[in-house]
Amino acid sequence: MEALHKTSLALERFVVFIGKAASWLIVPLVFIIMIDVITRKIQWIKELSAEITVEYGFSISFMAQDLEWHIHGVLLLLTFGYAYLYNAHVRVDIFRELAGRRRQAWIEIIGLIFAMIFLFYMIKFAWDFTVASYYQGEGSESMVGLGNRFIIKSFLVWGFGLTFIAAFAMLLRSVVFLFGSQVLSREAENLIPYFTDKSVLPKLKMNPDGTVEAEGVEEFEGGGH
Amino acid sequence: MAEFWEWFLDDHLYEYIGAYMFLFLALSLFSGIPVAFALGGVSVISAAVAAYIGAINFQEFFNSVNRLWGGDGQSGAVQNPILVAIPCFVFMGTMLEKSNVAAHLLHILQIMLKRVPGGLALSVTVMGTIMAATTGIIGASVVMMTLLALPTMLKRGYNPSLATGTIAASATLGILIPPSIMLVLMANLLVVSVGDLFIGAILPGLVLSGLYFVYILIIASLRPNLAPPIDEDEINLSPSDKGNILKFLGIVVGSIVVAWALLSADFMPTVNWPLLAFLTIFASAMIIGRKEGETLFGGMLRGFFPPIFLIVMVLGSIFAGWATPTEAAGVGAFGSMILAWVNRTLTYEVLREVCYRTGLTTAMIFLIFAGATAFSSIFRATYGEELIIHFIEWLELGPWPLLFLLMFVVFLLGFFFDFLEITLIILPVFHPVIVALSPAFAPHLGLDPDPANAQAAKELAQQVTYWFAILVAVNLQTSFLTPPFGFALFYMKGVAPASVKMQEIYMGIIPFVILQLIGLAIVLEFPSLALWLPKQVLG
Repeated sequence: MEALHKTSLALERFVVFIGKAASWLIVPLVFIIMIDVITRKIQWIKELSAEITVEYGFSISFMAQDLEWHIHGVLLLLTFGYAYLYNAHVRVDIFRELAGRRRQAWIEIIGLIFAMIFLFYMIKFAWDFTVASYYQGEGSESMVGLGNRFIIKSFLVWGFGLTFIAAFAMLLRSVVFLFGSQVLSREAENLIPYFTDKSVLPKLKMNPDGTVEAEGVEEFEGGGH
Repeated sequence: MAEFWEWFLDDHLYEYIGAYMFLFLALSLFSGIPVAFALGGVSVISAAVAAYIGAINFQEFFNSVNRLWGGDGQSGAVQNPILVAIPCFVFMGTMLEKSNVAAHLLHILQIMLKRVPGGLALSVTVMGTIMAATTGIIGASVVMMTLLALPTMLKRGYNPSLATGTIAASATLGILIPPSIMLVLMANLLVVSVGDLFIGAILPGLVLSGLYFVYILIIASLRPNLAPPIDEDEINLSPSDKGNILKFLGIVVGSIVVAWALLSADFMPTVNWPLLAFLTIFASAMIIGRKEGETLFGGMLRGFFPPIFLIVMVLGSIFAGWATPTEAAGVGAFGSMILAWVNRTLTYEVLREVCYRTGLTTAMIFLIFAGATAFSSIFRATYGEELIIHFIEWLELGPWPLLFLLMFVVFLLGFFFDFLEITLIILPVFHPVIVALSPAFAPHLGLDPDPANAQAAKELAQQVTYWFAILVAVNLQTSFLTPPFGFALFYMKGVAPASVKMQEIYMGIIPFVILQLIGLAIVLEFPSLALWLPKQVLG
């Protein structure tokens, strides 16, 4: 059990680290769009990039537009697992609320097993998809954008892979909570984000100057045993 | 028994596997596991069962990866320039929440509306409408508006139900009035233009906001104890500086005249002079507004100009045809950073938190997208769509009762599900039905296509699709407010003062849900509300 708990913690740290790093990609995305929009309106830059296209066979504007959805793809695929571990995914909680914590953990375990089968096949087919792209030598449709399409396609594999790892980490944690020793079970319980009696949103309050801060995020007592 | 199984697997299941998918999906959704996992799990199990009985090849599941990817100009998630708008709009909304823009706007609106009955509630509605035109998500606006407005309203003796209902309904306008991530998703699924859908949603959004405004005005006049007025000396403002007003007016007039002159003189035609003039006015408004401090004029400059700035940047650039909706989203996200910087709230910590929240929200939207794509791939492969069309033909309803039925289904689902599930799962199923009915709605839309003309029929189908999308969008407004699963209520409960009971919140939304249904009826009756403006703007 100790080993399961440690594994779950390590896997979680890994997925969350990558998810947080990927979240930062929104900043370059915004700047690339800005640069693309502005430079397209300026005459001498337009002429220069037309010259580059003729000379070297790639277009800056097309590359920027390809880059935009590349970044978007990486951002959204690599944050799936992170969002699951932070319980950001939508749930329909009407009936789950009625169950105690142990039953909620059981429901989650069953759900996670189904989810992992789904994720497994997504990974497998995404892998086929990537490999096919690699062997076709697939590039940009416009011929002047970003090439090597298989690289971005491989992020489907990484993204669903990370989600699989996240699901597995939570599965281990739920198992530790249900079957571990008292100390470990308690520790796992405090780290499980999906209980309905755990408030998802921190209680916020507003300071006189308009800034918002979390107000005494309470240590909640374990229940449901 | 063996005979029964043979019949069940080979005949019954073979034919009705699509229906069982929906049944199985409903069960697993209500179990409370993440919606995306429920969708994915159901689709992979159904694909396995369907492959076992020989209805499909399991390899069909590959299609869900292919369709999730996109790249064919259709509704994929990754290689799809349209959906790049979503993380940008999420970033913009989350950043605005941190930028004090809403606080300044509400402050000045409260001062300006203090003599009107129900002034505080009205200022919330107006703020909700203006902020709706700057953000496309509702989580941030509900939290923001609850924090800003609810304590003041309760302190002034407002009825908690009226206060919470007003805030929840006004904040929810954010998802209808463009820019809105819901409309981006809808346009993507229905393969129509995001820009047209944005423009089409403006008038229905304003109709709803107008209904709220009139309702609050009436109820506050009839029963003043529900919405007591603010005391005259409540908000003390020092007098405005006449010199600053003149200076500002001078800059406004000057920059407009200069821009107009340069434009008509064709001086450096590649430079966008009107935009430059607008930016000058915005910058001087912010500088003079800060110099003015706590005066009416200073408050107006600081309250109204930031949202106007963003509205012009985002909606203006779409309508003027300078940028695609995706680019406008990027520009808007950049603009929200500028506003946070102007209001001195753009720090590393804020940026980090906004990025993380953006990542989480984007992942939430797109994992459901992935699950729904897998589900609909398998549903389509097992001829589930034909099953639904047969079912509807079997009902033998006319076009209007059928439209009402679909609207009722969306409304009903709104009690339990959130706009994402309804949009991503239900819309693709309903869309072909509505397109098939489009000739029946032609007279209502004021169109009279020649049945032999394929181009006109296509045009008609598109118009009906726009109208239907707006109807669903208005209808989905209720899904945020209707318990037990109302997104807005859920967010509101998290940040409302402890004295506000959930029951009071539930009571408060009832009149607003009724108003939303009235709004829906108005758009049903007058389709030109949704269709007229896009034609005017885009020709």
